[in-house]
Amino acid sequence: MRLRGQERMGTRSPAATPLPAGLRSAGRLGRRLKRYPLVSSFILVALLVFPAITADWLAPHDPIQGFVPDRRQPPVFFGGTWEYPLGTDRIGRDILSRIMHGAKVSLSISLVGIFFGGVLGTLLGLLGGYFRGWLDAVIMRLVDISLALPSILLALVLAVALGPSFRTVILVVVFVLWALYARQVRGEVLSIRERDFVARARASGNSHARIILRHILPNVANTIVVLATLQVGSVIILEAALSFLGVGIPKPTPAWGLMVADGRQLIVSAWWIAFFPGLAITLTVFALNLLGDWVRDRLDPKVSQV
Amino acid sequence: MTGASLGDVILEVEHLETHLDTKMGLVKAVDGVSFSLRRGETLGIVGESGSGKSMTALSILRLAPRPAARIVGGRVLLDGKDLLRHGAEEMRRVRGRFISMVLQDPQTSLNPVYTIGGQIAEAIAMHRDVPRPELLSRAVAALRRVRVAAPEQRVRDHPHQLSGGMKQRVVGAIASSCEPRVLIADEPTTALDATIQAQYLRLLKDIQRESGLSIIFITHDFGIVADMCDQVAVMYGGRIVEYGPVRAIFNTPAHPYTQALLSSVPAVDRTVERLYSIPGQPPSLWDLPPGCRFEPRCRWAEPRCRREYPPVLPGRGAGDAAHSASCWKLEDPEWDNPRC
Repeated sequence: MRLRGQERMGTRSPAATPLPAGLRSAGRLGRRLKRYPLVSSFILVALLVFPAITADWLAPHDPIQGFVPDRRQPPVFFGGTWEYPLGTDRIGRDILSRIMHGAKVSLSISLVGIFFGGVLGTLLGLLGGYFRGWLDAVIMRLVDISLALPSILLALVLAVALGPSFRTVILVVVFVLWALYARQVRGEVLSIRERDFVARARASGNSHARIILRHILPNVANTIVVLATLQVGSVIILEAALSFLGVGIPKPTPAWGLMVADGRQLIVSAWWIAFFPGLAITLTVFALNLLGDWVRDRLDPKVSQV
Repeated sequence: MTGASLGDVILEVEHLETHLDTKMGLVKAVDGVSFSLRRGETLGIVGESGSGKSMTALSILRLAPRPAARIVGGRVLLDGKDLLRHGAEEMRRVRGRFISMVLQDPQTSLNPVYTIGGQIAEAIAMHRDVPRPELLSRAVAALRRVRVAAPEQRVRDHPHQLSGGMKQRVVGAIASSCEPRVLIADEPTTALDATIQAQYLRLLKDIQRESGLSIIFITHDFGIVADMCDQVAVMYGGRIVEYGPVRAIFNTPAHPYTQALLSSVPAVDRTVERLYSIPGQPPSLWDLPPGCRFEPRCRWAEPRCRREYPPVLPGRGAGDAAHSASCWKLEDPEWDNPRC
């Protein structure tokens, strides 16, 4: 899995050709969602942040301890009851409660992982881009190595070595993300450091550390924020994929990927076990990408000028 | 300003050598440059692109881009202390406080993310122990000194809200905020239009008169040199080929290169069919001949010019003041270096 914010740029199709009626309305909806960023933000809040914060109080059932006699209950409109609105899994755990608690996991993994990956990558990118020379060469080769390693493979290795845990997932996320920040930040620093204000700052007696942190970092802050926002969705997918494969969040913690994996064998007889967590992943990532696009459009002068 | 009113020597550069490691090989960008600067004096360094003017300036502040550039020899004496022997921290305290710099392009000389006031305040706080609340009023005062209108409002502006001329004055305010002894101005008016340029030069002169500042003015514009400078150093191929008082340089240029440069400046009082231009191209610095660097383009070139670099010989300019040039032709008392 490759996490590349830039790749999505190419997928914004020009709406020049006439589309069939159904697609056209979908396009209009997409445009509306773009034009009213609050809408996408609300979807985001509703789908991720709100359940994550309130899971401990609002989730109707315990996410880990199931009531076995109520196992494989269908969702409410498919023959089930309001007791379990989205049904139960094979040991009688409420799926709605588990999705709400799962949001907490997804959110904390993304935030912590992106934070550490971003800080590490930004720092190394600043150092490499500013000092260049052998330090830059070493950092960029590490970036190449990191980008060349498949993250799933890396996760498997780490999970075997350290055991699957929250910490392992964070480590994998950091390892995948830092290189993207380092490469992007370094590229920008290379051009910023040649601008006269950096030379002028040197000539008025700033130290290297001060120039990097006070004069260059604020000029790449936009890029970092855009990159971070665009990555939340990808990180959630990565975490879900790792958990699905059993090398991410260990059972019985409610993680979305784990829940999908759990329901996989029962997909014919009890489809809701895998379907709802899958839907949660899809909608959340969709909303986050909308938000990411919006943030980029607002902050990235290269896009907003077009 | 006349020679008599000038003060003591403040900055003395002795045989400065800066080498650049490039893909094409070693480049002697600054190859034994010497000059001295007195209090209140303006020295013009003239030369075409690649002659080593800017590299000389950067080397004085030890800001030549590393790791490519290395200062390999010479001394830079500020009040008798050799800057080349300073540690990094000592050197940092010299920059901006004793020697400051104005760069060519005002558009990029200010950090776009901070306010004007913030950037001036930073420069002051770097070297002066000024309490925080007072910094802003110091910034306003610095702006007023460079004649920015309504400085109280301007301190809150960001660089993109100012015009080019205004920005360059802000850069001047930053450079002069700590009352440095020496200001290095590296083509500060190249990016400005003629009116703004004249205003800016007048401003520099006023600041100089008020504070006794010494200025090293790097330019390729002889008009500015005539207007601003007391002493002139003409650089070619990393060396100073002629050095002397501005009058001597203009009236009796000793080096053929200086003469050629002067001949290629358009003048309002002279009508010419076609403006003179120096034949050939500036030397490539990674493959310098042992002899005179101007020899391939020189009208007076002789075989020995190619073999041996000429010594520094006295020029014929203005009496007592030191005027010198590196040209074999000066050994011939009959030769008078006529206009091209």
